[in-house]
Amino acid sequence: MINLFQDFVKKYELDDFKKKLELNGTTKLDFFNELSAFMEKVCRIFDKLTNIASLRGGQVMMSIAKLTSPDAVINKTDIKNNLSIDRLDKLWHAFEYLEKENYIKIEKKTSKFHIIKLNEEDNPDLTLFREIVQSYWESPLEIKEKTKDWRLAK
Amino acid sequence: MKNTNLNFEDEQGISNSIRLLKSEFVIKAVKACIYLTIIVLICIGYILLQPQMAFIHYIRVNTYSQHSVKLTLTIGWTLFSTAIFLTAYIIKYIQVRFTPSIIKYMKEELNYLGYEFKKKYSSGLLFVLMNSISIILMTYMDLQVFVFNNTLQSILFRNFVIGYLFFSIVIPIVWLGLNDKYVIKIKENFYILFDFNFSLRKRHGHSPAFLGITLSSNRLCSRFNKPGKNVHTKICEIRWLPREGTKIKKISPFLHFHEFSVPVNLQKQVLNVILALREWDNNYEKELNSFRYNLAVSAKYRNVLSLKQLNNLFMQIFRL
Repeated sequence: MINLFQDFVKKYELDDFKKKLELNGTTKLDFFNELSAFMEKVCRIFDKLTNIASLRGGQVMMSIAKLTSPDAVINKTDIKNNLSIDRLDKLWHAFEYLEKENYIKIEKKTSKFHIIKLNEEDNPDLTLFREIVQSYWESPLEIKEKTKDWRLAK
Repeated sequence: MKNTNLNFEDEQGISNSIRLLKSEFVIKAVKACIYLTIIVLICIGYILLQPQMAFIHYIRVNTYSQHSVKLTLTIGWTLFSTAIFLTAYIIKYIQVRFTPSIIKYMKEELNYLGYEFKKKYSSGLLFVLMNSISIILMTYMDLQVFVFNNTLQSILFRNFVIGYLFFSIVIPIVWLGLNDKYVIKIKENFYILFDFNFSLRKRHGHSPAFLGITLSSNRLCSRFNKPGKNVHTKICEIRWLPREGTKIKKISPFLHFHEFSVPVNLQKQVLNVILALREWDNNYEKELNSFRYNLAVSAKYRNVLSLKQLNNLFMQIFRL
């Protein structure tokens, strides 16, 4: 298994512009699997780094990215549930901070109903972040369900 | 009414929570010191009063009855063993810095995940059980029920009693050190133990107080089990789990999963250990079977080789 991105580039000679990249059958499958493994690792790094900080901002960002879809309307409670947190007040500081730093946008429809989005317009890198998180990150809610299934299985 | 809810979500909440934990811990330590002083006073009192009691006993024996009961051994042993165990218990009580509010906080957090946070075993019960047998033994000895004519039997009985008395104190204390912890049971044979690290002193250049929770899983397998170690290493690498835990776990001959957490990411870190245990449960048997298979194949191959070598040897002999 390849651990370094440089080894990956070397294996498929991605930096050699004289040669064509020919992928077919198993080579294509290997290429895709190795790329997926890299993305998975990048996502794991996101996950770990967002857990190191004392505030929950990183995890909130990941949760918004995970829940985002063209037809989805995300509110604070969705994020709270997705992160498996018992009380919404635990996330207030994170929302405040992320809005202040311009990482997220909060549309206040009513006093209690706030729609939340990642601010991808001002931070284009967040689009890639969202894509990776959506494909490879398991939210605490998903993990909770997964562990529940294992727990109840004999 | 005093607010006993801990909040680690913002700077103000953290400093308030730390203040609350410190005050609870100080109350706990003071209570423990009072208990310890009472025990020491009782022991001293008993030692000082013993000559007088012997004198009273002497008068009673000479005045009223020839068969008066003298329970010196029983009372002495009861006081001594209780004092030793309680001292160890109090030291452990002070060392394990779980206070009512942190227990409440962890209960809430883990209940939300669907797990029950409770104490693993009670060493007090084990002590009472073992010590009551030793007290019965002592009472019988005081009543002179055991009388041996044979010296060998007497020596054997004496050694047995000394051994039992020693272990009736040592086993509960060891048990107290190793097993008096908080735990969540995940499923049959799988659980996570919790240790709470809380520094009271303010260190230079560090945050006001460090609040850490150490999570350790149940025993997985022996440290020398090769397939088990392979699976353990793989899971630890993927889940970013530290290989070694506390000082005691470092010298343990068994493998465990360890994780460090702070109150804010407690749920996430617990889920990480649970997923690690799930992966262990799913992969260990497979790895063990493949290891056994490889071992059997290589042994067969070795046998085939040795047969071939033997065959060659015979051929050479016949040629000669």
